[in-house]
Amino acid sequence: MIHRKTDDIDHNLIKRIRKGSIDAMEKIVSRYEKAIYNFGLKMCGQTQDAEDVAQDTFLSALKSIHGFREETKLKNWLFRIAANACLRKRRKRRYEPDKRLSLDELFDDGFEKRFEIPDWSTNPDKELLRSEIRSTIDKAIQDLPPDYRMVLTLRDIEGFNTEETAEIIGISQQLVKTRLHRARFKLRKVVSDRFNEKGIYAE
Amino acid sequence: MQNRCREYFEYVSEFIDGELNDSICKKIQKHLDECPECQECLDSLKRTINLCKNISKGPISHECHKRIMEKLREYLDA
Repeated sequence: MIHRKTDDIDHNLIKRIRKGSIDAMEKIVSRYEKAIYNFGLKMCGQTQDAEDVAQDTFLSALKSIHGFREETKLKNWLFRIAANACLRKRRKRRYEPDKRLSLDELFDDGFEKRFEIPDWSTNPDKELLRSEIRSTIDKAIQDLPPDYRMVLTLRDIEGFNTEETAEIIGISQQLVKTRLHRARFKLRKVVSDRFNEKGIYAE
Repeated sequence: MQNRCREYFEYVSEFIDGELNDSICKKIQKHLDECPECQECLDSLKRTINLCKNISKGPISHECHKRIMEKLREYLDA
C-alpha cells in the first residue's frame, strides 16, 4: 500500500480527471502553471520556450495521469516532467556546454575581498533598487551552467528540499548538495561583481 | 587564513541549510567565532541565497493559459 502524498484538493481533482473532466484539469493547470512557467523561464531564458515547457508538462501529465500513483506531491511530479521538458528543449535548441564549476577556484575567489551583496531585508521598499537587484540576480542565474542552474532554481527559488530536488532531477542527494554549494558561490561572485560595476552597494 | 577555512568551506551550504549533525555544526560555529573572514563568507552567501528566495515570479498571461488548455483539449478530442 503506497502512502498518498498528494493533498486532498489535488487528489480529488486527479480522480475527476481520470473520469474525463477537463474542468478538473484546468484547475490543476491554474494551480501550477505559474510555477512551471517561471521554472521554464529560468531554465530556458526565453518566454516562448517557457510556454512550450508549460504546454509539454501539462500535456504529458494529462497523458500519464492514470499511471500516477500519488506517491509524491503533484507539484513535485509536475516539476519532474518539466525538468525533462527543459532538458529536451536544451538538446534541441542549442548546445549549452555543462561547464564544471571548480571548488578550488571558488575557494580562491572566496576570501579575496569583501562581497558587496545587497541585503534584501534592508532594501525592501526602494522599487528602483529592487528592480535592479531582480534583473541582476536573474542574469547571474541565467549565466550559471545548466546543471547548476537547475539545482539552484529548485532549491533556492522554488524551495524544494535536497531529497525532493534529487528525486525531481533523478540524481543523488550528494550531487544536489555539491552542485548547490558551487552554484551559490558562483552566484555570489557574479552578483557581487555586477553590483560593484553598477555601483549598487549593500547598506 | 587558516587550514580550517578550507576544511569548513565545503560545508558552508549544508551548515546554512541545517543539514549537518550537531557535532560538526559546533565545530564550524566555534571556527566562525574566531575567523572574521569565514563569518563574512557565510554572511555574504546567506545574503545571496536570500536574494534568490525573494525573486518574484512573473505572472502567466491569460493567452498563455488559453493556449495550454487548447493543447489539452486537442489531445482529449483526438
